[in-house]
Amino acid sequence: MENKELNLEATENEEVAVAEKIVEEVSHEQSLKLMSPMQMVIRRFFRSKLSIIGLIMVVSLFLFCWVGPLVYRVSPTEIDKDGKTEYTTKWVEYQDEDGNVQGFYQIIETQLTDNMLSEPSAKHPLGTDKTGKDVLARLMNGGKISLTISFMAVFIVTFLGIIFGGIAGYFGGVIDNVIMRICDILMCLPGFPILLIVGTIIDGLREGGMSMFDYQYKIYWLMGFLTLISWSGTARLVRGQILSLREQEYMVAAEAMGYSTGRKIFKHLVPNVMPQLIVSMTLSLGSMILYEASLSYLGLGAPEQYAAWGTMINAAKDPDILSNYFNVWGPPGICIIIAVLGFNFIGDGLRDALDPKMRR
Amino acid sequence: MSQNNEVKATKSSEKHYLTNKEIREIAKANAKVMKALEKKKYRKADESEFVTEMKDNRNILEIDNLHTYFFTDQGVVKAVNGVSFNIPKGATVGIVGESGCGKSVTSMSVMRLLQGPQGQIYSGSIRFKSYDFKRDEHGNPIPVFKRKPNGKILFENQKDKDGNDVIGKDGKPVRVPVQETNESGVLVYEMEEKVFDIAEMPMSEIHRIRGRQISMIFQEPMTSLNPVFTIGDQLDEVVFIHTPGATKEMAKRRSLEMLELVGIAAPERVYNSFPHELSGGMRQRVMISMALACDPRLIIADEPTTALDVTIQAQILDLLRDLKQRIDGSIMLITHDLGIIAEMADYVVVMYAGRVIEQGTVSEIFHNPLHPYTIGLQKSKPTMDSDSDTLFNIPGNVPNPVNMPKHCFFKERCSKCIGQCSGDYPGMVQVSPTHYVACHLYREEETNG
Amino acid sequence: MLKYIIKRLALSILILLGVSLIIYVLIRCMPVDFVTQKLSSITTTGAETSQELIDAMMKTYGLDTNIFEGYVSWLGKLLRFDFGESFKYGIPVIDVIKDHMGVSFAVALIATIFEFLIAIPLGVTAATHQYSIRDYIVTVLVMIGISLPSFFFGQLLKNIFAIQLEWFPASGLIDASKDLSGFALLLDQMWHLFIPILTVVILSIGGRMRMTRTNMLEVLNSDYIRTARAKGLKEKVVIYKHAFRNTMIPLVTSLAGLLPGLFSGAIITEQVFGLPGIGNKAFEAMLVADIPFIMGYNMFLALLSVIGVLLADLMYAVVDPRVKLE
Repeated sequence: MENKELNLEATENEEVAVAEKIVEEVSHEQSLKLMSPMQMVIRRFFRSKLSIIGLIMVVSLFLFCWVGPLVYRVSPTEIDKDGKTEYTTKWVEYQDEDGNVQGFYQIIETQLTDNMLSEPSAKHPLGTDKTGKDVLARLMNGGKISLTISFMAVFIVTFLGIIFGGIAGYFGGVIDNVIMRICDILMCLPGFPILLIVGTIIDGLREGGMSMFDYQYKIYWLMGFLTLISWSGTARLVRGQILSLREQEYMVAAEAMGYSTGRKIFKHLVPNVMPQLIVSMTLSLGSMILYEASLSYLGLGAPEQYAAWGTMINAAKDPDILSNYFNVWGPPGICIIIAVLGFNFIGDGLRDALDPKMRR
Repeated sequence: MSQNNEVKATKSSEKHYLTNKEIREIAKANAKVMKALEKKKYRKADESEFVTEMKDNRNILEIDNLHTYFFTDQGVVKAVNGVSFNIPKGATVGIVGESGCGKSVTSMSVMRLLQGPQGQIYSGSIRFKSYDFKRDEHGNPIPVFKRKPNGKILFENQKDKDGNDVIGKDGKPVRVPVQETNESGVLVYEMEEKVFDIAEMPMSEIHRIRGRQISMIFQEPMTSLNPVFTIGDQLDEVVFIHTPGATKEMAKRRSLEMLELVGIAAPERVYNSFPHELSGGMRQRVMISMALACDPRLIIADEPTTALDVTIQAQILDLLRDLKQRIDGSIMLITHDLGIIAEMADYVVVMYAGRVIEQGTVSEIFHNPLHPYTIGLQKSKPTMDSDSDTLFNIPGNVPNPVNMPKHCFFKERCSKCIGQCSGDYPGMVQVSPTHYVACHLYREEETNG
Repeated sequence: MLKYIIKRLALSILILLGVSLIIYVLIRCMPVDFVTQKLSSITTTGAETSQELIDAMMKTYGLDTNIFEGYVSWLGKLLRFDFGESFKYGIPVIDVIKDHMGVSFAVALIATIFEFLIAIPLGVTAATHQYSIRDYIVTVLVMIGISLPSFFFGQLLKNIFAIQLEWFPASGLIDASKDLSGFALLLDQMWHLFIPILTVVILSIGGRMRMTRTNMLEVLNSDYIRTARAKGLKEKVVIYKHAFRNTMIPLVTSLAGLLPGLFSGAIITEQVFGLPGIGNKAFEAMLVADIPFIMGYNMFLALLSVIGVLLADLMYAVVDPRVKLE
C-alpha cells in the first residue's frame, strides 16, 4: 500500500529506479521450463480480459437457457388465465344547461380472461406478452432454439467448407475450377431475398399438406438452406491455406513417404488449417445468431408459441408495445447482444492467442 | 515488495512452468517499467539534456554499457546486456556473432528503431558526434553567403517568380545577399559539430540523427522498400527532409546522382520504377543509395548481403568499400560471415549472448583469437586446406535469454573451462592497446605473470 | 488489360446465368396451387377472379411450361430488357425498382460516407496506439457495434429518440400533415432519414474500424516502415504517408464490394422505420410470391454483385502497383 502511494508521488527518475528494482527481482528467476505451443495458446487466451468476459457471457447464457427452465418451472406456451382488469379512458362530451360543451374522462373497466401484457411481478419476473405468456420462460426457450440452430448451422457450414475447399485445394485443375466457379455464384446470390423465397416455398409446401414443413420446423429448414449457400467463404479459406501448405517441405516429405491422399489431406493439411477455422467458426457463430434472429424478426421464423429471440422482438412492430412494454421486446434483444458479443470476444481472443505474430 | 518475494519463493523450487499468477506479476512489473521508459521516450526535453562530450575525440560513435531489454510475459529478455565499443572516424567496425546474440538489437538501439513498448533501451549511453546545421535562436539554419574576393558579402537584386527585379518602396531594386551553393546546387548553411547521447534523446528529436547523420542498410532488400511508391519518390524524400530549401529538380538531380554512384546503369529508368520491378541486388543498391543520399557520417549495414546471392554479394561489398572512401564516413558492419569481416573491417567486435566477449583490430582477431568462442567461430568456418572431413561445431546452445546465469554465459559450451568460470561473469581484460577479451583464462595469465 | 476485362466479363455472364438459374428453379419450386392462390388474392382486389386472367398470367411468365422452357423464355425476354410487370404493384418491374431505389440509395450512400469518415481515423489511432487504453475502448466499441442486431438497435433508437423524446419522426419518409415542396420537402425527408442513417452508420462502423486497425497494424510492422523511420521521417509522415497509403489498398478494394449494398436497400432497417425503399417493397413482394418482381430484383442485385467484384479487381490494380491484370 505504502509503495503504491510512494510511486504516485515519485518523480520520473524515482519511478524508473523503483521499476529497475522490480526488473532485477523478476529477472532473477531460475530454472523455468518452456511451455508447449498449446499451453501457450491457452495461456494467452486466458490472459486477455475480453476473452474471459466473452467466455463468461456465453457460459451464463447456456446455463440460463438449459439449466434455467429446471429452476424456473413455467411453461413458455401456457397462457396465464388469471385474468386481468384493464382500464381505458375515454373523453366524453356533453352540453350543460347553459349550452356550453363540457367534457370528462370516463374510465372503462374491462375484464379480460387472459393476463396479457402484465407488468413485471413476482409471478412473472419479466411480465407477460400480448397473448399472456410468460416472457422469462419464453426467453429461455427461445434461447435454446436460437443457440441450437446457430451451432448446427456453423458446424454444417464448416463441414461443407472443409470438404469442398479441401478437394479444390488439394486436387486443383478442373475440379478446383468448377468448385471455385460455384463459390463465385454462391457469393453473388443475394442472401436475404433468397431465404425469403425459400420461406415462401416452405409455406407453399405446408399448405400443400406436408407435415414436415410445419411452422415449428420452418426456421430449421431456412437455416439449413442458408448453410447450403454460405459455405463458399470457408471453402475459400481452406483452399487458400491448403494451396500454400501444399508447397511446404513437410508435404513433400509426406509425399515421399507414400502416404495416401486422404491421409495427407486429413492428417496433415486439415490440422494446419484448424486454428484459422476455429477462429472463423467462433466469429460466424455470432453472425449466425444475428441471421437467425433477423429471419425470425421478419416473420420467417418459428410462430409465436415456438418463438426464438428474433420473433419476440418482432412484437415491437406494434407501436403500443414498442413504446410502453420494453419488458416484452428488450430482454430478447439484450440476450442476442450478449450471445453475439460473447462469441465475438472469444473469437477475437482465440485469433490473438493463435496468431504467432501476436506473441509477446 | 511483498508480491515479488512471493514470486521468488515459488521460483526457488524445482523446474516448473510459469504459473498464470507469475505471468501476471511479470506483466505487471513490465508494464510499470515500460510505461516509465515510454514516458521518457516521448518527453519534451531541452537540448542540454542530451548533449554530452566524447571520451575520445577520434571516435564518431561510442557505445557505453548499453542495456537493451525486451519486456515479454515470460520475463525480461536482455538482448543487449552491457555492450561497450567505439567506432573511430573513418573506420569500418565489424560486429560478429551467431544469430540472436544482440548484433541487430545494438544497431536498432543506435537508430532508436526498437519496436516499442516491449523493446526499450534500459540504460547506458550511445554518444554520437553529429555534424549538423548551426541554428539561430529561432531554430532556423544559418545560411552561408557568397563573398567577394575582398571578404564582403555579395548582394544581388531580388527576383520575383517571373525573374523580374523586385522594386522596393523607395523605387530601387531590393538587394539581397547571395547564398552559397555547393557543386550540386544545394544551398550551404553553417555547420557545427555536436555530441548527442542518442539513448537520452526524446523521439521528437531523433530525426536530427536518423537518415541524415546515421543511415542504415537493412538485411531484406526485398521488403525494405515501400511497394506503393516509386524508387524516385522514396529517394527524393530523403533529400527533401534533410536539405533545407531543396526543390523538386534539385532532389531529383541528387537522387539520379546517387543511383549512378551505386553503379546503376540506367538511373532514369530505375528512378521511375516501382520496387517490385527490380531484382534483389538492384534493390539493395537502391537502399544503399538512399542511405548515402545525405552524406551520413555513419552507415550501419545490418547483414547487407545475407539475402543476396554470392556474385551480387561481392559487388555490393566492393561498392560499400568504395563508397566509404568517397564520403569519408564510418561503417558499422553487422554480419555472421567471418569472410566478409576479414575483407571489409578494420576493427572487429565479437558478441555472444548480448555481451561483447572480444574486440580488437581485424588482424588481432584473426591471427590471435583469444576467447574460446572466437576460436570456435574461426574453426567452424569451412576452408579448403583443412584435413578433417567434418566441420567443427561449437557444442550446445546459447542459454535461455530470460534467465541468464551469473557466471560466464559460454561456460557450458566451453572446452577450456577452469575453476574460476563458475564464479562471477569475467570482466574485460586488455591484452594489447586495441585488443580486449572477457575471459577468466587471460585474467589468470595477467595476475600470474 | 482489355483482354483481362473481357475475360472477366465473360466469367461474370457465366456467374449471372448460374445465379439466375438457381433463383428461377427456386421460384418454380413453389407449388403451383400456392402461386395461383396468391395470384388470385392479389389480382382480385375488387375485380372478380377470372381463371382466364390467371392462365394468361401463368403463360406470360412461362409458368405453364416445364422449368427448362420457362427459363429459356424468361431469358429471351431478359435479353430484350423485359423484366415483366409486377403482380403486386401492377407496373413494370423496372419502374418499381426505379421509383423506390432513391430512398434506399440515399440512406446507404450517406451512411457509407459517414462510416468511412469515422471508422478510418478511429482504426488508425487504435493501431498506432496498440494496447493502450484508447485501443481497448475502440476495440470494445467495435465489438458491440458488430454484435448489435439491426432490428433491435433500430427499435431502440426509434423508441428513445422518436417516441419517448419525440425529437424525430418515428417512421415513414413524408409528413402527411404538412404540405411541403422543394427544398423544405428535401429537408423534411432528411429529418425523417436521420435515425435510420444513424442506425446503419453505428452498425457498420465496427467492421470497417476493425479492418482498418488490422491492416494498419500489419503495415506498421513491415520492413518498409522501419526503412521510412530510419530515413529520418517524422512519425506523422511515416504513418499518414507511408503506412496509410498501404492500408488504403484493402479499404479501397472493399469500397467496390459495397456496390450492391448501396442499391439493394436494407430490408430490416426499412422495415423498422417504415421507409418506402426498395428493400421494403421487395420484402412485401416476396411475401406474396410476386414472381416477376422477385426475379427482377434478385437479378438486379446479382448484377450489382458481379460488377462490384469486377470493380474491386480493377481498383486493386489502380491502387497497388504490384498488381497487374493479366
